Amino acid sequence: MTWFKHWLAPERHEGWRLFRILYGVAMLAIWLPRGIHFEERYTTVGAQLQGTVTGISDVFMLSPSAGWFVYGILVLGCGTLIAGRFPRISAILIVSAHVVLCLEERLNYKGYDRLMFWQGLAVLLAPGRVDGAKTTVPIGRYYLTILFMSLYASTGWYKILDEPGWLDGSALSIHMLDMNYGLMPIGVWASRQSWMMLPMSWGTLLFEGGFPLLWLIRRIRPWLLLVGLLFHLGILFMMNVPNFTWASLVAYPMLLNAEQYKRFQTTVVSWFRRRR
Amino acid sequence: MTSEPPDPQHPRKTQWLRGIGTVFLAIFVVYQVLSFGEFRGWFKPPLRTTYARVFWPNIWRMFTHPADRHIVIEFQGRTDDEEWLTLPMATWYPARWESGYRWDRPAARRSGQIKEQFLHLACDKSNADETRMVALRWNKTKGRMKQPKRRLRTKVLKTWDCRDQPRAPKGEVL
Repeated sequence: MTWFKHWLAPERHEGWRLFRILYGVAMLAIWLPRGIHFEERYTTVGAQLQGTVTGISDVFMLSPSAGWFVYGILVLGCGTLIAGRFPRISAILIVSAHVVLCLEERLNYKGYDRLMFWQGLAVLLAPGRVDGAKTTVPIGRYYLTILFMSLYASTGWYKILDEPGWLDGSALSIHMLDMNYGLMPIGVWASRQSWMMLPMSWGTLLFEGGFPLLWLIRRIRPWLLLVGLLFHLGILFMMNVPNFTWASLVAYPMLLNAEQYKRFQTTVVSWFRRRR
Repeated sequence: MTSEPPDPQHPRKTQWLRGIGTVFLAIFVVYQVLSFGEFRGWFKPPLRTTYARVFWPNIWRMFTHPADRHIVIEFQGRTDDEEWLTLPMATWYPARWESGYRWDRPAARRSGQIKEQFLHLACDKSNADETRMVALRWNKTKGRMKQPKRRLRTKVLKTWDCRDQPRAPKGEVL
């Protein structure tokens, strides 16, 4: 049982610090713009919508002052989390406020909001003060890995099994033209370039559908995550879903194991030193 | 190498944590597989999961199906049975997401209560006698930033008498 001897063996993963900061920053990037027209979105000033999946608006609704209070808690939580003060209490406040506001709004509980909810729970599973200083059993890291395996695999396999347009590239080119999510200049241009759409489409299917298996091969893991980074940056420049990019990249440092992250950190730091 | 053998100071604590961690992660894997299976209709969930599903990551389809046509929702109002006029809802209620205005969401087109609420808001701002929600649909054109309205079709989704009261949530206002 050599395998079990190494399974969940204690480790000191310095990536937790970066994860904690990126999570707080991504939450702010998502929520600060929502502060514009906040009362219309989340309080009784806007449309009062019934029948949410949780029926929360049949239990309580937020007046403008209650709404701003919850929003304030969320922003304050992000600030303290980034600063590394009371990280677990901050995460509980952030996740609770995030869920209440998303469910109250009713119509715009986005996929990346769901991802931020699950990643918020990872902060609670992180060791010590979420600063990468403590050696402990890496439950939080494996939790994030399972989350990303499941997320990429499910969305990849939905495309492979349910939509033939992903196999010939037509689905991707049509998405580039969406009035809201698309119509970015590069995406609109690319929508006519079938020589680009086909490999990009197949690349998406291979990356998403194959992620759980490819991640298991330790040697290619950093390259897989580099492809993931390029994949999300491609989405950032070709489609209008910036928050999805921030939310997806937050946990990338934790998808490397402790040793790989250390090597990555050393490479980046020495590169910056050489540049100066 | 930063992976270390069990903490020699607290070997029993480490073993205990590894056991708990394994069970927790196994449950999380089962949860992911179940949510994927339920969403694909492989089986019926053992419990009523309507409430829990909102958190399930596996209902995230992420641009699986493309829509060949644009859909834009327009609000119109009229007084004394005169001509229908387009109402500036986006000016009155300007909050928007990447997915557009709140009423652009597919759920808004499906739910009667949601349509009533938006139509009633349009009544409040316009002082019209009647308001209606109209879906404009037209085909997408590849390679064009300005999408010409090819084969434009319109459909009235709902007409609302401004004297009626819309269905509202029953929750207490905090």
